[in-house]
Amino acid sequence: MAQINIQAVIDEFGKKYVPGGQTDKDIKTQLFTQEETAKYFRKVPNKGSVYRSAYATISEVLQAYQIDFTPKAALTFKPIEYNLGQFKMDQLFYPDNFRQSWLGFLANIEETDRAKWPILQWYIQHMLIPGYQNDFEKKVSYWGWQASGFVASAPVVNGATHTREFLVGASTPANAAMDGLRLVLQKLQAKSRLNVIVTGAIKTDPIEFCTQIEGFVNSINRDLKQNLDYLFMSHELMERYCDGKGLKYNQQYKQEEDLKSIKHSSIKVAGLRSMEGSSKIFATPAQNRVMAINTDFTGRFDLQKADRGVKLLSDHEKCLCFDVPEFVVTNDLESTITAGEITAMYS
Amino acid sequence: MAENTELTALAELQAQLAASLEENAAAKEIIALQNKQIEELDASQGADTLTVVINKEKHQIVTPSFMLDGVQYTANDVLKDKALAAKLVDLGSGVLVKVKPSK
Repeated sequence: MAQINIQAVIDEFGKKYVPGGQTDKDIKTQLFTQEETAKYFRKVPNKGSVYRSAYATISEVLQAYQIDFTPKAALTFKPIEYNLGQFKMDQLFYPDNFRQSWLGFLANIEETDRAKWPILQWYIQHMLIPGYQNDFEKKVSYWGWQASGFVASAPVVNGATHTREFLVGASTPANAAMDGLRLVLQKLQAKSRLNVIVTGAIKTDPIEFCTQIEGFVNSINRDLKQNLDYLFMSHELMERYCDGKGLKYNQQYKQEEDLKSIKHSSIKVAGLRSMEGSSKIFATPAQNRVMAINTDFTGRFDLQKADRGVKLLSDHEKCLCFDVPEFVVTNDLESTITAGEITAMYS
Repeated sequence: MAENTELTALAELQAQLAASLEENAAAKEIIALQNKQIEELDASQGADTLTVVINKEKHQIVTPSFMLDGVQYTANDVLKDKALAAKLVDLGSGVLVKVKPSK
């Protein structure tokens, strides 16, 4: 249920509008997290609600010369598909609520079309768009778990089968819109299509953690390693790595950017806000990180008017995925959705 | 005379103690055998459910293939190799997830 509550302003400043030079600059907004994860993924336009790709490999082709014809080499294709996340925003708005208040400058009684009142523009620009980015980064891009269905009663949430049902007609949490990277990795891992390198539990000591990351990178297949640019992890772990590297090599004087590089590789650690609270780390070549988009959120809404109310509707479809799962390398932690996570985030 | 009676009673008690200890040892042997059987049974069931018992705790193997110290392993390797499974548990690896006993 979308709610707009200006009661505190009315209680404090009175139920009347007195122009006193107040403008939208006098309204300060909360701090929003900006999109960070999606910036590392290249946008790929995609029609339809599924993104598909195939990965081709070939076995040894060369052989020693002999006069007989002896064909060899096996060509193999491996398909992969990802469901695009189904996002929407629904808002019901009564602009008239603002007329008799200190916020009255956001209403414009002279304009008969309420959808053109300044409040709507302010609301979309200053609250909905940053709010969308904040939700996508913190709740969807990494931690998302797309709803699998809507039922009339007794919705099932099961981490092992990835079933996540909701009641028909009720609003759902943001993280139900799309499978986040964590779940994408988990699903690919279950299909045995990822490179999983065992790191064991993440070390809390910075120097030990730095050594742990170096060991992880050293274990990566050399062909793949040469193509990697970033090793993604939470900001907390990234900072721990930088601290550890400074201490381990006595390089505390170096700029943080230099401390992000990993020994014997061209890989740098990269912190993602979306991965906050996760012990997972992953890396994949830049061209393998794909954001398949049918329609993206551009801040445009369908405005529907009925009586004095205005409805705002926005729908879009996209997902974050990996073109070739075999080019993704990750550690062995957080391979499943735990019961505790279901209670805390997914039910 | 009284001393003799006491001595006899003591000897009887000693004999009883020896008998009980023997029984106890036999029972312990049976328990050990049964524990072993349970563990073996769990391990054999693991072939279907991919579970291993390490330190009397059941773990499920949730990662079909992984690399440890530069060597590629599969879930089946963990099933067969107790030392490997124990090492993974020691490392705090996510390859194995502890299974909570169903109540």
